Amino acid sequence: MTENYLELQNVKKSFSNFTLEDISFTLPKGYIMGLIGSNGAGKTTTIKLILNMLEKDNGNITVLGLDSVKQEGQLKQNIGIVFDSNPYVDEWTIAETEKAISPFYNTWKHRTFMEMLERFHLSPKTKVGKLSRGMQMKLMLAIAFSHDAKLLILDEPTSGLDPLARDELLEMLQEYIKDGDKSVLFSTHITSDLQRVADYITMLANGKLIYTGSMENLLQKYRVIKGAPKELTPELSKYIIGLRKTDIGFEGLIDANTAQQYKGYISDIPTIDEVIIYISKGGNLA
Amino acid sequence: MSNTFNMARLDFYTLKSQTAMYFIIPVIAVFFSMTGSPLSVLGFTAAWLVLLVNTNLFAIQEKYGLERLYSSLSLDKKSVVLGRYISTTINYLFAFLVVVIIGVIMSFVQGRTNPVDGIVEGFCLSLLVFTLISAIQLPIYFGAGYTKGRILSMIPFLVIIGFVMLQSFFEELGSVIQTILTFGNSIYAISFIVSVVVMVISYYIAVFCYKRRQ
Amino acid sequence: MHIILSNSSELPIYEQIKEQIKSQILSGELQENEMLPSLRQLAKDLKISVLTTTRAYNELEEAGYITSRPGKGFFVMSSCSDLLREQLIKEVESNLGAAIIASHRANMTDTELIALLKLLLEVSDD
Repeated sequence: MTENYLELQNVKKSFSNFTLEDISFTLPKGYIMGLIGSNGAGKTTTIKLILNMLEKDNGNITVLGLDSVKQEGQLKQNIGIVFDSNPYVDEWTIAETEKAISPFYNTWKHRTFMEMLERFHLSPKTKVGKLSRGMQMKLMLAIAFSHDAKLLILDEPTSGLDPLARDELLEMLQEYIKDGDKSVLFSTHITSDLQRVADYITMLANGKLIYTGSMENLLQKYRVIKGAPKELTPELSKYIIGLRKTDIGFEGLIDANTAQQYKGYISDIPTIDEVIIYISKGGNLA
Repeated sequence: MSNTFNMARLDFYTLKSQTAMYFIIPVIAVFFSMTGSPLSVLGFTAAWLVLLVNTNLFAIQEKYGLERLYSSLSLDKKSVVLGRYISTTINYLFAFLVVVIIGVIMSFVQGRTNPVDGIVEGFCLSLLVFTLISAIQLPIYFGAGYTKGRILSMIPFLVIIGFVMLQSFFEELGSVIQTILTFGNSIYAISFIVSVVVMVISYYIAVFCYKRRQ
Repeated sequence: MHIILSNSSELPIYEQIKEQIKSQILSGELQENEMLPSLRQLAKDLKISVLTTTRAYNELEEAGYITSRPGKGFFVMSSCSDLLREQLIKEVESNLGAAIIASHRANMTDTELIALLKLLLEVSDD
């Protein structure tokens, strides 16, 4: 039986200028899920709700089978979090960071932590504030890996990282899920990172859930349609999402089944970026 | 939650960069002792300095976004608040202890015959000052964060100053003090109990404020 | 076993994997009962998602090229399996078909073709 490591059901949160509405998705054990969408789509809000940093207005969130509010203390023993920057005091050394944090964990593995530091070329004596972006991310990973975390949540971990560091991160994530017993939720607006490695995708736009399911299904669900300006019939433009018209052509996203009816037009499999862009531009969202 | 104590411990780690502040306390204590101030004044000084340190905790928390750290650990919001109340109280007790020790030493140095006179007075009064001000400050800072909290916490002080400006205030105060003095020594027990009660009520308010914060 | 993926190929990644494993089995490069890399190891080595390798392996299993032994992993089917033999026979058929077409172009008679086949069989038996 597939165990679900993360389950959101009809989660809702309102702010004065933004509402996250009816978000439901599931991440099974052993896989990587990308949480994607443009900035302001609601990704960070969703993660804050999962961590109970914000109180949800409505809905259920279950992490590793435990309620995110009622069993918060228990479930946080087994999750690791990587933020886009260190959530530590700059003046702490790495060794002091360990001393400050490790008492909170029942299963802290000091030796594993030291091994990870060595592997990442981090010295325990370095002050946390002096670490580069890439090293900060590695420190957060080292901490996450040192206490039996079964679910790893990353919130925009790669912004500001060079391509090599991003590649190293993806490799570590794939290593992390290798035993089939761990899952990763990776929130990012840099989708090229996820394109090949993510098993599942949940896409948000303007606080709404646009898609959740396997990466493969997402890419098969849509096509990018292109053609000459005069080929854009009013009927066709009704189906196109994020329509872009210029003097020399038009393009947009269209449901793959609908695309079948319009043979003779260019109809490509989209990249994740294209899906996000056209959907964020909006219009004709099914 | 046992993690409440880990939270208090975490607060002390957070203050690590501010250890300079702690050294001011003995220095000022020595200074005041030389001018012959009784322990009660020294006690007030300790309370005042600790209150400055307390708000620093919130400043550092806001500067580095430490709520993200708290949310990644097995720490619910109640524990965060309670941990902070504990760490600030320990700070105060520690500061008072330092002040007493220095006061006693200075008394011997100056050849005074009654070094421990006024310890109980000093403790109860300074504890009252500390808890009354903390009880107002902490919920405000938990609810509004450091930047806004700094401004908002001015309001209670302005209100108090406003009262003091009223002429009738001193007449009222005079009769209140008269009434209090008739209690005799039990005033200290009452003051202590008031301090504790005030902090407990403040704690519940602070938890409410912190939970409501977005 | 080796898998080399191309981004510019028309085939989706799982198809590329399937094709390459299939051809290595048919060519004998992958021996019968040989163990394949695990789903997750393959995903990690190729830097692709686990669901992708899962699909490739599942479809290969359905087609009879490989089989999964619970708790052990995926293995190349022994060539006695009917499905694999069917595939191999189809391969022979198509190669022979190509040979026939080529022989007509070279104006060979059927007898010449059969004699050539017999000669090659004798040679390969040595």
